[in-house]
Amino acid sequence: MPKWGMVIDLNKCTGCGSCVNACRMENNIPVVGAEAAQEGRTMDWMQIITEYDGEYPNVRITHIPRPCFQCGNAPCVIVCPVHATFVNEDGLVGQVYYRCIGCRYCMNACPYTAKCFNYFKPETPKEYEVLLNPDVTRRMNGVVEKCSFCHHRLALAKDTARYEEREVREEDYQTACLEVCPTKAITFGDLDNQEHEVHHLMHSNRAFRLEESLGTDPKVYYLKREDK
Amino acid sequence: MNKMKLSIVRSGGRLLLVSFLTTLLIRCNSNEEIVQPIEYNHYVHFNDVGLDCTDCHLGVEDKINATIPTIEICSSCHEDMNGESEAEAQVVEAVSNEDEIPWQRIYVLPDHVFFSHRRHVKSGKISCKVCHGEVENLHSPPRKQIVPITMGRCMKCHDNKSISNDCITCHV
Ligand code: HEC
Ligand code: HEC
Ligand code: HEC
Ligand code: HEC
Ligand code: HEC
Repeated sequence: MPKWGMVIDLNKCTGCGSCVNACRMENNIPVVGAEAAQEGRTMDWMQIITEYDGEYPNVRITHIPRPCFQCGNAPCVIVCPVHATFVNEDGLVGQVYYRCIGCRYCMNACPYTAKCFNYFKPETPKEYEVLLNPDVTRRMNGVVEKCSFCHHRLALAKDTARYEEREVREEDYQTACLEVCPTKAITFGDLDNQEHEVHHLMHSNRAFRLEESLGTDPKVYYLKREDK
Repeated sequence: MNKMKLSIVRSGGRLLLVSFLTTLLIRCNSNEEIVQPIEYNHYVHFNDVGLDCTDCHLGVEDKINATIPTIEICSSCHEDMNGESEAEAQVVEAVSNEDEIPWQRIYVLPDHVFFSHRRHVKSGKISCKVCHGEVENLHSPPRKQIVPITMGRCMKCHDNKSISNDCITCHV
């Protein structure tokens, strides 16, 4: 079984936010409006965390794009009372919306605040309905959701690969955030595949994972920012 | 004071009744029979004309969706009458007007489920019968799912054939 993972190079990330937008479009993420956003009810699966170092005027800014880390030992899975979230055989952390009861234990348990709650019914103005992605269901209000590593693309990739009677190749399955990144800061693929770049990057000496000491075993690696 | 309480109780009761009736209505609706605009006949085309399922449902072997045939497919044979049934006359008229026939879908999965025909028909070598019943012997369009699609059925077969049954292989 492949172990799908991601490496994000913080040297390359400019914080432009393309990935955040691409993710919204790909996954039919609702826009909650200014007022709800003030109350912290935004739904972004991919978020850019900005870190400031130093005192003005010598500030160093680091942008950290944060998807769901698809932890191997996921805290959200441990606390879910209804098995709506689980680690599947591809190493992805699944979220079954119709199973979810909206208790939000998982949101609390996630040390990376990767999960968000649907406070509102999904609503799309008629003229925007053509923009919805038919491959991804829209979540109803009252359930928790999170970045899925675009696993609907994996389902399609597996289907195509089987149809063409071959294995899933890495280029078949790439996430939406990666596709739009103008600086190519994101690399995605099978972490165990020694032929793929993602495998080399994760073993680079700049590589680290967020809050590694918690033992969550995230499948998203970062490459430390280094000033030249 | 008492009056107010009474009216609350009353309106509460009414609400209950209304919600009960709506649930009943929704329940009935889901079992409602679907009537197609034209009395299409699978038996004639499969057995007498000798068409194969793939001649009309173009996607079953190579696509995710089976697709219901467009009027173009009918037009290759129905520019003029072959028999004398009324249903055929309707088809001939639709062909001459180049109108799409507004077929209703009977087998529809909710949008949170991923299902691929080619995966099951071509790779899995499962015959249509297993999931759709004996369509080739139908003299009129099915009014409801002959073999209902339920998650239980999908999972049972997957279990038997050792196919992945992990929730997100089907749920997107
Ligand atoms: C001549 C074209 C034609 C052929 C050949 C044909 N069909 Fe159909 N099929 C249709 C049309 C038109 C409909 C829509 C009307 C209806 O439901 O009967 C339909 C509907 C269906 C439906 C119901 C789909 C839905 O969700 O509404 C199934 C299942 C189906 N066909 C299976 C088969 C199978 C199995 C075969 C081969 C044995 C087959 N068909 C051969 C034209 C065809
Ligand atoms: C493993 C079960 C299974 C098998 C085998 C199967 N189908 Fe289906 N079929 C389905 C399901 C489930 C749907 C509903 C799909 C959806 O809503 O996306 C469906 C839908 C359809 C439809 C409706 C139109 C559409 O685009 O989906 C047609 C027509 C159809 N099937 C024909 C066939 C024919 C012909 C075969 C045999 C060659 C076949 N099916 C084999 C499960 C099956
Ligand atoms: C390969 C040729 C062919 C194609 C394609 C075809 N048909 Fe037919 N169809 C026939 C023939 C031949 C008959 C005459 C059967 C008879 O009445 O003896 C017929 C009869 C019919 C009838 C009358 C059935 C009855 O009970 O008498 C209907 C309705 C019909 N077709 C609808 C369709 C529709 C809708 C399509 C397109 C999805 C279609 N046909 C595609 C050849 C075809
Ligand atoms: C009669 C048996 C049968 C039924 C019923 C059935 N499946 Fe399958 N399914 C299979 C087989 C066999 C395969 C593997 C095909 C192959 O690749 O050889 C499969 C594969 C799949 C896959 C791909 C699994 C993977 O690991 O990539 C999905 C998704 C799927 N089925 C969904 C469904 C859904 C949804 C339903 C119910 C609507 C369903 N199946 C009903 C037999 C079945
Ligand atoms: C083989 C495919 C398959 C697998 C695996 C699968 N499901 Fe489903 N599921 C379906 C289909 C098809 C439906 C829609 C038909 C139905 O409601 O029975 C469905 C419907 C549901 C519903 C009802 C949604 C509603 O509309 O109310 C829930 C809840 C659900 N699934 C949860 C799960 C959970 C939890 C798992 C993992 C243990 C799972 N499913 C695994 C195919 C699957």
